[in-house]
Amino acid sequence: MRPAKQTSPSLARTFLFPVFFSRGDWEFVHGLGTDDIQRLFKRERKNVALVWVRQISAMIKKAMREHAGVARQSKNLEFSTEIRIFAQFLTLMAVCGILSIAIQTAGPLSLAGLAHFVQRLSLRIVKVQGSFQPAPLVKSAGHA
Amino acid sequence: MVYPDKMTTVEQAYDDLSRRSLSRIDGDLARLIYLASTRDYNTGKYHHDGLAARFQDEIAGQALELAHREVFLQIAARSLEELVHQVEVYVSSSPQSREEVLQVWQKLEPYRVALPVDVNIALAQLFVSNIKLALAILRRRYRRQEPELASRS
Repeated sequence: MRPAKQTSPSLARTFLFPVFFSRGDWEFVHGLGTDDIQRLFKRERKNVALVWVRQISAMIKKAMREHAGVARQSKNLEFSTEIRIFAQFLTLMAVCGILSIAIQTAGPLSLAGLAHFVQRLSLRIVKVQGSFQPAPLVKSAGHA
Repeated sequence: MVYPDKMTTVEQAYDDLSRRSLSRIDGDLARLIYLASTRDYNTGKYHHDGLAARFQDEIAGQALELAHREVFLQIAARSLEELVHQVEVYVSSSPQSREEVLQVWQKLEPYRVALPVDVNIALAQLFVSNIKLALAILRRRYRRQEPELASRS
């Protein structure tokens, strides 16, 4: 067993493709054939999924605040780029809202179908977050 | 005295901990509980007498913290079925009756204390949720087994 010096790959996998959206655990619980355990499973998975969506929303808001802070200091903003980033932010927030409602109404069984969508959303967030910081800083450095 | 590179020393302490202590503990859940028990409730600092005797206290604490986080990540990424097995191994190794341990765990939820500091919130919630489910599954399983065992005897 060796220590992980960076973020663990298992953590990254969990974050980008949450296991609570997968059908594997549900099939195991379903196979037990007990209604009360199945009900408990659905309730628990719903709660975890909602925590995850709230976490994603908070991450997007934080990234947007950080970007706004950097953008305010930048002397050479590209209006079209800023509009595009803001549109992405609004889209992601809207998707998180829709996802929250879907989780609360449709239940964990339907969430399995949303798993790929959620994964794409997560990857998009990471991509957008990555594109926030460097661009304005490079521009600022170029004008220093 | 010249100390070796700090990270190398933490790795050495980690290896020592893995080899001497963790390898003797059966199951990831038992390892997690063991590592969490080396953390002081008030200060959040880790301490292990054996490790502290061989390494600097700070280095030993970092190795324990690292091991705690690693074991948690391993167990949190497991499927529910695997976690049920882990809980079963842990419960079976206890000198108390299985039913008693399960009942206390459901009431007191001591596994919440086993979470490392600053862990991903959703992952922590998933772990707690999966343990709850595993306990409920095992209690039901054992209740079903009781009449079968009684009729055999």
